[in-house]
Amino acid sequence: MQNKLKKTKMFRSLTTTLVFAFLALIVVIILISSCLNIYFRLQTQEKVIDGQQQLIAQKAADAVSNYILQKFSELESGVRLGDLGITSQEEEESAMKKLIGLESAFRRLILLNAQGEETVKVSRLSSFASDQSTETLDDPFFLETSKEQRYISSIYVDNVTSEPLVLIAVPIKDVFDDFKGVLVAELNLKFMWDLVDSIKVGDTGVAYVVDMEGDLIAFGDTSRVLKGENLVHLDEVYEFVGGNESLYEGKSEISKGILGNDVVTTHVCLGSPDWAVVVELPVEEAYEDVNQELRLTALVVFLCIVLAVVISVYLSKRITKPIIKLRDATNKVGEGNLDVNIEVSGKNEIGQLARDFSQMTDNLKKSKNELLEAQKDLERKVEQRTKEINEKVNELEKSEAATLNIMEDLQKTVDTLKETQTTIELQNIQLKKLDRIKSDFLNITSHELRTPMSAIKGYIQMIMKRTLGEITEEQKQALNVIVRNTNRLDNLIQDILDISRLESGTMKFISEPTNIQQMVNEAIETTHSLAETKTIHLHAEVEENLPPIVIDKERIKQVILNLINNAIKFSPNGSTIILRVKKETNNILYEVQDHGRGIPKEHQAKIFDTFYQVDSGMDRKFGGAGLGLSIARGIVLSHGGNIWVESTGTLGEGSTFKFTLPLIPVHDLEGKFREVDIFRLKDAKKTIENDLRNKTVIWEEETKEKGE
Amino acid sequence: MTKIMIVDDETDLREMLNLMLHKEGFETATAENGDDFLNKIDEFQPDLITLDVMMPGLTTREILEKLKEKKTKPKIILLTVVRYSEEEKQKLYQRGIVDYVTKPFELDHLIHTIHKYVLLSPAS
Repeated sequence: MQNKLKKTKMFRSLTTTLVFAFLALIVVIILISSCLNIYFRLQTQEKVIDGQQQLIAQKAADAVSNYILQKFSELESGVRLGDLGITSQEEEESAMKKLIGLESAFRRLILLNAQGEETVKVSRLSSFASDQSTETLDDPFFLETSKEQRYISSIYVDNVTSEPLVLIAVPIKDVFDDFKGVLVAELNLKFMWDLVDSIKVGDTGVAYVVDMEGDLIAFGDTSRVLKGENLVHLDEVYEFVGGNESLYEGKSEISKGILGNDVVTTHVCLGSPDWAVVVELPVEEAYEDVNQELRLTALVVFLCIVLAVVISVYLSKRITKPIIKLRDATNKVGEGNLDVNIEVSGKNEIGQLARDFSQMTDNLKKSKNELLEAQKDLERKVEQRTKEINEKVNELEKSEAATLNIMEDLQKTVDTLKETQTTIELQNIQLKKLDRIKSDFLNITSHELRTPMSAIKGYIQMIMKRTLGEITEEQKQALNVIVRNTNRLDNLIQDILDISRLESGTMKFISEPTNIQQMVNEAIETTHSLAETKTIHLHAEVEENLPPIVIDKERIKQVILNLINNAIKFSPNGSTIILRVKKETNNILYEVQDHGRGIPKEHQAKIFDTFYQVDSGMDRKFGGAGLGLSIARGIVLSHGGNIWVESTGTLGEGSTFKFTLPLIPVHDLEGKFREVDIFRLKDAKKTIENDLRNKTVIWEEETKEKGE
Repeated sequence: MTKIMIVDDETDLREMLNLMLHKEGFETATAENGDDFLNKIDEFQPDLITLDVMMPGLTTREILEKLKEKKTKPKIILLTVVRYSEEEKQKLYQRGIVDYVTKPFELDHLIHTIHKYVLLSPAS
């Protein structure tokens, strides 16, 4: 679930990507072009406004300047026409009155002589009106200046009317160019106001005139002029007053205007008088066109973007639609639906891809149909086979019934066998009990027979060793006989016990790894003294490097001793007895060869039987109960070996007793010997066991055959 | 002097061994069965005993078991009629038996065996 969500998040539609890409491209282009356009438009507008203002200002300045110059010309014309300074005072006064009547802007005319004394004075005003002009006229600088050129004073305000007034003066010279006096006119600047007011600056712009101190001289709003307002606080005026022309010259600035609004402003100096005309155009008006254009551009940009969105979406859809169709078709094919019809035309790559895809789908469809055919064929075959198998199963079931009958019979046989086995096991237990009784009996008998022998032998040895006092020679001879016979009796007891144990299967064997060479040496050593009594030469030939074998060393040594003792017993004096031990494939072979009288063929098989010597009535002169070979056979057979005698039966050629012991030991040596079982019960058991085993084998084979 | 105790139910054999070991120079005492031996042991405090393997009354196993409770710990030489395998010998050694002699024994062999263990005894 989470995985799916992740996938959905990761997935970003190709359409969306394309739309965004197109949009981004278009918007960026439009924005850049619009911005550039506006920037250049603003630059142009600025220049246009600047030009316009300069023009208006210049025009205004020219107008003001012309006005003043006109007044000067009028004054000079008055001087020339009235011959002022030359004629009489009456004529002078009349000419001056004419002049003041002609020009309403002149409020007062004063004529000064060369010495600067007032000669004639005419005024439009009543005589009691204050005359502020005298202050200026008394200034010596005024006279010096006006002697040579036109003079214009600074502005002053009439105390009563509060009108701005200025004094202008022209020098009076005669034909010889001699200085005759000065004609001074008090000029009312009120008439300049109308001029300034008439200057048109756009629709809402204004123009005004300031003097060097920044005082307002002329403005549409006369009340502000009459108040004698100082406008140095305005940036444009300050520039003029400060004289920082070089920095700002000819440049329209945006700053606070006289009406307190943001204006584009510029000024032009008159030169003489030292006034400046300032023109102001409110920013709103100045940039109205630009603003309008800006709004229009914004609208166009917006419309363009909207159009771009529409076009992008349309184009993207057009591009991605076939791809989406292809994707849907792929999904369907992926889900296993091969009947997909892709309606994608066009000669471009996508169209080609769609056609290829259709081709692939068709191929798949074909393959699938083939597969389905094959599957159906397979199913038919399987069905047929199943039918065949079922038939066979039926047959088998029939035969199985038959088998079951046989099995029942077999079961009965097995039951019978089991009963037999139980009987045998019971017998086995009884036999084991019997074995135990026999073993105990023999142990007790052994103890009871040997204990007195120990006492007898002990005392004899003590006497012989003179432990109990000195003995006579006769006593010693008698004791020797006693010792000899005691030993014989002891040996006989030993033999009888051994044969009993072997026959009852209770003989105890102690198996251990044995060095054969060492064992043979010990046997030779033991029999050495006996051999010497008959000067018989004992010779041992033991194969080198025989491996140690696991046997009951004492018992096997007993066998070898028995054979050597027999050989010595039956060998003539001075003859040789050879003991040979060698390795065969699976056995160690022991040989004892003598040069005695030999054993006739008819006796060779029987000499190993118990008490055979006694029964056969053989020469008794060699002594012995005839138990030795019987015990030897028992021991060898118990070890899993074999014992026999080889002899030609010819006198002097002697006989060779041989026995073998297997290289691989018989681990369970105990109770191995069964040949001369005195009760014959074990043979019976063995027969039953074999019978049972054979039957089981037959039964198993039969079952196997039927199972197949 | 080394003390040896002869434990055997056969009077003749017991007296023969007693005489012989006495003549050999040991201080000897006798017991005729397991109970007799266990009664006398702490009093006589033998260094070594010869123990007949088959006696009426207590079995050899029982005697060895009860000997564990006694203060005296003599070395034991077993008088037997059978041979023992290595495995069986190990079991005997674990029960405190140092060696065994098979009947009928040669006197010299028995004396030799006794001397072997008496010489090793700290009492001698």
